[in-house]
Amino acid sequence: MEKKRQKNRTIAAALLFCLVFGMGIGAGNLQSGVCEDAVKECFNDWYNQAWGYFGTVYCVMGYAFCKKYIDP
Amino acid sequence: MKNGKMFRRAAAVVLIVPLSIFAAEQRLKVSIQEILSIGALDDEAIFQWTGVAADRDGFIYVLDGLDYSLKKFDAKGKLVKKAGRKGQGPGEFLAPRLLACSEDFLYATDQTVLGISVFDKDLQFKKRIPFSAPLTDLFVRSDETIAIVVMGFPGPGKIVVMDGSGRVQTELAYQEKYAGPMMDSVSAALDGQGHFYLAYLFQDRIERWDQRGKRLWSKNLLGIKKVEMKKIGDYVLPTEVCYKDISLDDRGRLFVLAGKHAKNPSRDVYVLSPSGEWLSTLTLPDTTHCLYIDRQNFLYVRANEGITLKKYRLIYE
Repeated sequence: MEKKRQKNRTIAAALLFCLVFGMGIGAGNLQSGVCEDAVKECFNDWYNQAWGYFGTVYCVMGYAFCKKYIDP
Repeated sequence: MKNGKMFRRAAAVVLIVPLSIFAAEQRLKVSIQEILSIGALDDEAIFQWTGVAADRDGFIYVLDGLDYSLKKFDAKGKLVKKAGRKGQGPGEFLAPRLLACSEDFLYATDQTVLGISVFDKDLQFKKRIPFSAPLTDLFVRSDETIAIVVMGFPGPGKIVVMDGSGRVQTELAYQEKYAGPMMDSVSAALDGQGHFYLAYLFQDRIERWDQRGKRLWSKNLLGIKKVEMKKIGDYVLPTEVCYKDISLDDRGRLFVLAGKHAKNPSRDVYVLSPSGEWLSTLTLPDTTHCLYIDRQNFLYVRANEGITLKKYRLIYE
C-alpha cells in the first residue's frame, strides 16, 4: 500500500511538473533544485525565447508555482 | 572565564531572538479536527488540485490542474458537477491556478491565459474579466470588489482592486522599488475593514496595509536576514521559500503557511493576531501549498501531494 502510495505521489508530482512548465521530465528528477533546473530549461526553450518578455514571464510564473507547490 | 560566560550569554541571546517564535509560549492553542476528505490515491475524484473555494451552502469548488477542470463537490464530498477542458477558449484551462467565490459566482485564473474567468455556481462560464498582467493571488469580497495581486516583472508588484467589469478602483503599491524577479511575490488576504495582509514568498516579511497604501506593521517570524539567490540563465532568482500562503479566520486572525525555513516545512502554520502578534503554531499532518479558510471558519488544505483535499474544523482553546 505504501509503495503504491509513493508511486502515485511521484507520478502525480511528475505530471504536475510537466504541467507547470509544459516540458517532459522524468519523475526520478524530482528532487532538490528541480524548480531551478526546470526554469533554466524554460528560459532556454526556443519557443519561450521567441515569445520574448511573455516567454520569460511564463517561466518565472512557473518557477513561483513550482516553488510553492512542489518545493518543500 | 568571565568572558566565556558573557560569550555564552550573548550566544544565547543571538539564538533566542530569531527562534523566539519556536520557543515562546503559545497564547492560544489551535488544533484541527478532520471533517471531510475528498480524493484518494485509488479514486479519480481529484488528480491534482491547485485552487479551492467554498460557498455558504457548503459546496466546495476545486480547480484540478491535471484534467483542466473546475469541479463542484457537495458538503459530503460527492462530485456534483465538472466543467472545463484543455484549451484557451471560454471556460477552458491549460494551467488552472487560483480560485475564489462570491455569493453567486466563481473566479478562476490560469497561468497561461491572462484575465479572470467567471463561472456561475452551476459551473457555466459567464465571462472573462480582462487583465493584461500575470496574477499571483486573487480574492473576492463581492462581485464588485475583486482584488488581485499583480506580479511586477520588471517593476514592483501591486494589488489592484477592480469591479466586475475589470475597471480598476484602487491600486496599492506595496514595494517602493523593484527588488528583482520574484522578490515581490506575495500571498494576500483582505479583512473586513479593507486592510490587506501580505506574506512574501521569498522574503521573511508579513505585513498589514490599509486601503490608502500605508503599511501598518511588518513582521519577520523566521529570523531570516538574507534572501538566498541563484543565477539561473540571465536572471538572479530567489530560491528559498519563506511563506507559501495566508488566510484569515472569522475573527480576523491571520494564518500563515511557512515554507522551507520552518521546523516543519509546508506544514507549520503560524497564527497571528490582527496586530501581528504571534499566538500559536499549528502543524498540519501533511504538506500543502494552499491554506484556505471559508466563511464558516473551516480550513481547507491538501494531502497526498494534491490528490486529496482535506477539510478541517478549527478548534481554539
